[in-house]
Amino acid sequence: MQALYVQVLLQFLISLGLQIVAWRLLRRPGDVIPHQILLLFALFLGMPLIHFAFTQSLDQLILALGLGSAYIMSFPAASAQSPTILMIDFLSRSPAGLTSRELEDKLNARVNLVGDRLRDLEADGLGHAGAGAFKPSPAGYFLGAVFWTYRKILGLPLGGG
Amino acid sequence: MQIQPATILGLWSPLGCFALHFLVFRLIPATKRMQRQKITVLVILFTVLLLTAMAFALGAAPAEAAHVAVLSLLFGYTYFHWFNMSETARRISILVRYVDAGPAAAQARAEYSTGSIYSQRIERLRDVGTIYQQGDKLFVKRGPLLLATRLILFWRGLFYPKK
Repeated sequence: MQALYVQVLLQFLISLGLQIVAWRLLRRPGDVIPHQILLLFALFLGMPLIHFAFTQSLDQLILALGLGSAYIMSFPAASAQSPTILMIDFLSRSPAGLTSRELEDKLNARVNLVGDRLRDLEADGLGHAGAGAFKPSPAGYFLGAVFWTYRKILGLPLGGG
Repeated sequence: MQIQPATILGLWSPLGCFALHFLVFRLIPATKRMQRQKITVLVILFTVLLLTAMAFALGAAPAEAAHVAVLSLLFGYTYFHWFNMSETARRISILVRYVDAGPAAAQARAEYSTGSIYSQRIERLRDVGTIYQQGDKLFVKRGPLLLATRLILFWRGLFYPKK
């Protein structure tokens, strides 16, 4: 069992190292999150699959996929400049506190809360935001329908974003 | 090609989390009005405990039971982010609003304003006790979310160095 964990951890660290190098050297200024997620999938889910072809160990594969999935799901929080993270950071850097207006202004100066995400959706082929209303592509509509159904099954209202 | 029973048990974690989540929200409607992310964390922790206890009950050695706990936590954590995406992700919210609005989809974008995103987040941070108000000023409390923020910003710095 110990050897299993050591191998998976080593594999994860190699993927992480490759990701840091790729992000620092190969990332273009206009890159959007969906493009980055494809690379994350290749590094953290593809590598364990390739490794599996040699080891034939399902235990190792599943542990590596679990670790990779957890990492991939966490990464957008860092990559997408999460508004919640920024708000906590702004407040922690202001010992005298901030009024709600000041905090909102600081946030809007750093990120475009809706516009940035519309740009990502468009770049990933999930929708088109022209001068009029936003219109999702079939893939975007499918993704929206999956989450809409999930919320309905749980009996929850739409997420607030 | 072999697989240990402990790995199979750990793989049940996302399904277990979803089933328990469904039961909690459906059978106890008051939970829908509570802080839903907190409820989700409790659901995941309960599922991890349940699966680990099952491993012991089925005669697993401590190391195997620990493996069940680790796998359940990893997949449970992934489930948490899946739920969190449905709750807070802006891209998903735009798509879901379009699906929900149907023929009136043109309204979907208009209803999703930066003001509502901001106020939802303030409300959530107040609910979980991360921020508090004194007079007209907002302050942040030391705690797990502040620590997580520091870690995420450090992590971000590894990939997006400041120039």
